[in-house]
Amino acid sequence: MKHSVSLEMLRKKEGIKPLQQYMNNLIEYDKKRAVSLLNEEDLTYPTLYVLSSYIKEKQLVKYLSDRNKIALSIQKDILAKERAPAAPFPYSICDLPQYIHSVLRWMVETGCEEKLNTRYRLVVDRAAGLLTTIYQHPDDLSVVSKLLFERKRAGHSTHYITWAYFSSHHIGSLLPIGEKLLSSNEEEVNFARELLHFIPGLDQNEEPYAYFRGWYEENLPYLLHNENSYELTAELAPYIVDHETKYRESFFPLHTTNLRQNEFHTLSEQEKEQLANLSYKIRMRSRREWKEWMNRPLSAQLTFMEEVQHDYDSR
Amino acid sequence: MITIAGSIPSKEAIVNAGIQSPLEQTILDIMLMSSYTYAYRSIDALLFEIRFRVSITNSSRDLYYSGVQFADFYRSRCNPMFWHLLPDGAFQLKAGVPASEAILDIYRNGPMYAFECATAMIIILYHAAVKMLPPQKFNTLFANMRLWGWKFDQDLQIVHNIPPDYLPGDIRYVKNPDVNPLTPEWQGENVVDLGDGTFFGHGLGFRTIGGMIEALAMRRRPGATRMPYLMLPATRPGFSYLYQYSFNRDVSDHSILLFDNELVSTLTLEEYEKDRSALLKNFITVRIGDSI
Repeated sequence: MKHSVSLEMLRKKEGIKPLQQYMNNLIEYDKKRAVSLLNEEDLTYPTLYVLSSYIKEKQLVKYLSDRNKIALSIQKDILAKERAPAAPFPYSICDLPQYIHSVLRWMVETGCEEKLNTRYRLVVDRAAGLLTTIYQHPDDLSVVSKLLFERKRAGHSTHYITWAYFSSHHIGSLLPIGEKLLSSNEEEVNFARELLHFIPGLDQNEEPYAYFRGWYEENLPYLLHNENSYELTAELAPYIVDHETKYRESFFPLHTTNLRQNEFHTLSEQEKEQLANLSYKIRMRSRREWKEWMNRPLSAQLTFMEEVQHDYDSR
Repeated sequence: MITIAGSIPSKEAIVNAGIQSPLEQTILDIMLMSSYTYAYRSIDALLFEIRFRVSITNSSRDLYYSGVQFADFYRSRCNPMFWHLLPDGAFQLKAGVPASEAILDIYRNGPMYAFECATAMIIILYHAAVKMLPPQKFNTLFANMRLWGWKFDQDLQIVHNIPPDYLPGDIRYVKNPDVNPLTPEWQGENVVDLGDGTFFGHGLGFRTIGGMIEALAMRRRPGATRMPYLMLPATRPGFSYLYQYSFNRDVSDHSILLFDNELVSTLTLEEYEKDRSALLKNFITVRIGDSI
């Protein structure tokens, strides 16, 4: 057996069975070389996963690199049949939580394209959930969004990954989804539309990406995280626009502020949205004009809004 | 307050029309005492909603005792005689199988099934609908049934909003914002209001809201700071939409159809004559068949 053999190449070209057979033999005849191959930097998580039962059986765990040890520990914990409520955090084997972060990322990044079996998918999906809910690093969003679209493409459940993805509480999570609106793959575009359906008007727009970017840039300062999920509703809306803030921004009218706030609250949701959008447009055009407009009574603003809408409709 | 075809009926009239169980009485009392106006086309439509709500609570209890298991979408399972298990964990009704029989099988052969809490709620609603609708109508309406969370519910016309009152048979949601990410299936629990101060949640059984919160709190991540909480929206099927399918007779047997922007109700000639002036004022009425 040559040292130049790559476990990765063996798995990808020959398949899982030959890889397992090779590793089994290697462990018998040259345990040191087997460990050396397992600890190679470019090993991917799917390869470690398919060999994990041999590693355990031949008691090789203690010879593995920290990365592989932690990955197998995470895998074992995720696949545990019973999880006692409020179990202690299981990864105390490493004093540096950042290292666990990098291992989780490695598992998802190198593992997202492989399907293998249900248990494997469960491990990768849960690892992605740990990344987005515990570590919440913006750099991980692209990795997890890739996993999300991979699962959708394969027809597998996206339920928990969707939840995990938006649990990052990071508004930037909308960007990788929005970029899929440019995909040449129609299914990806449709899935992106489904996830972003809460953006008013996106469904009907023929240039959805440009529309999405416009909406995102306009509403970014006013977006609030919304704690609904597919468990609660078929209409997922991970973020909502704070219409009152968009309408008022930092403006304080000459009359009492509370009065204006109370008046705004009495409007219907549709009126709030329309008035907030109009306020934003006037503000962008001329701040001076906007301040004058904001000092008008709310009823006058609503009348003006109706006039603008009428002009727009009659074009 | 309740109105029937624009008029306020007496409580006695409604009770005499067919209120039977204490739970039906409870639902009626909440509606009558409310400042919100519950408007129905007919007393039958009101009774249909009240009975449907009771049916939802019964279906919840029956589901618990059927022996079905709780499972996340990776470990969902179903009876292959009636359902295809899809790769995403959804149950797709097999071609040629009557939807009503497939739903009833979940209750008959519970241990063969395992699913998530949102799917359980859809199953409860379908089971209640089986009890409330004629089998032929049910099987036609839900011929292409797929069970997977809330996503495939078009035929039930699910309504999800903050209602004026919470009524028995409502489905509520207890959110667990700091759930342990290793068990995201406990990110929240859909629960059915049973009308006696207790709720049913698939996987957690029968508990008060406090009990649900306590159970979910045990499934939070280490270091969690936020407690689970009951969300304000309630979910329920479109009772008035489903009511139109509740008649045993075919539409062609009916004398009168009532239209608002769409068909809203079908009445017998007797029912029509009773409230004729109000109906003529409020609806487009169409007579079919040979009755005059």
